[in-house]
Amino acid sequence: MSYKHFKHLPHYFPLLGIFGAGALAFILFSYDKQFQIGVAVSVAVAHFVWGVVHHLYHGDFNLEVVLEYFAISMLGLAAILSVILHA
Amino acid sequence: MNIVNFLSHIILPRYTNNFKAKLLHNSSLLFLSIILLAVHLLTRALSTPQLSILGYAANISPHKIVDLTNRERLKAGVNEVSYSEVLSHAASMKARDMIEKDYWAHVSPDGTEPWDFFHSVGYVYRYAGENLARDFSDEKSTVEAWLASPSHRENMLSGRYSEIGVAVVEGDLNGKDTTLIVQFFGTPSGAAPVIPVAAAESAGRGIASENSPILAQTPEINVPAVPASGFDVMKVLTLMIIGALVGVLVIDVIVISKRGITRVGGRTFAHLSFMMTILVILILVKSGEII
Repeated sequence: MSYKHFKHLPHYFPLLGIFGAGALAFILFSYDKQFQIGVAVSVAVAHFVWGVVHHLYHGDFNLEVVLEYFAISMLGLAAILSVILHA
Repeated sequence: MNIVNFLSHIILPRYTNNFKAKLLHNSSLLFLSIILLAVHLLTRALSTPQLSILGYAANISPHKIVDLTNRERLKAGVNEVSYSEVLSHAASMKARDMIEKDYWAHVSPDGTEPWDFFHSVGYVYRYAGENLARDFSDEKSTVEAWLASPSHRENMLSGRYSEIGVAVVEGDLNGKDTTLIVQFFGTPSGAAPVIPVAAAESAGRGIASENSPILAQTPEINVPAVPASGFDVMKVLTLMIIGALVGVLVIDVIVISKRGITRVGGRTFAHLSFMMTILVILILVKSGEII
């Protein structure tokens, strides 16, 4: 592990916190489908926004990176919504 | 050998895929999203009452719901509620009303309240309550969902009730095969004041349709088993896709760090943690909805 790896750590804590809170919200509000949809959208948006901010901060921001975060976020959101909307 | 090369191209970062597994390329991710959307639409279409290939069918026993409710009441130190045929009949009327008028709410679009069904079967109550659920696969998950919601839990564990009635009715609700579960609580009263106690908050929705067919009715239901609902199909498919992506991302992290490959792109660890969250959520998602 180099300094390069460690300097990213403070960025990952809020990201992991958001993801953990999202999973917890799904458990606690298992009875509220609308709320679960809101949580799914929030988690996907958080992943995308985190990616943009992180790469802007580190100076390696470009369109390819934005599209990658967008594609991953969309796939994750599509996966959850396609199941929830069937439930 | 070609298959090995193809699989390596799909799941391993190597020179053929610009040192990024093909499955992680934007085009592949977009393709997977489209596949999910297409299967979602297909399963919804196949589960419409007209086709009924993936129609939802659950064999839920009203009596088991009563048993589970009483078990939870005993655990909470509350008196058991006794089964009432009259309340079950009222619950059945409520469920039929939802199917016939095509709504999913405590109050019907024409303003009919849950208490009106109590009155129509001649049940004069001192206290009354209603819990609604739809599309659960079994009794246990239905009761667990009600217990998880504070307002429904309050109804289930209220010491003011002495009787319970449950109805399970299947039919076409908003163009979809649906299993409705209606749970009525009551305490009969002769001259005592009539006080509706509680119903979970509702938001009326739905558009009226004509004479939707009712497929089965409480108390004895015998619904032919259907191999899998659209929910099950989508859950398995999404778990497979997201599980595969998590696996490829783990391989990516290992190979990239071992070989010291530098490339332009997003942070694999961020993607991995996001996909693992999605995987956890997919595992936790259960069918069914309550109000």
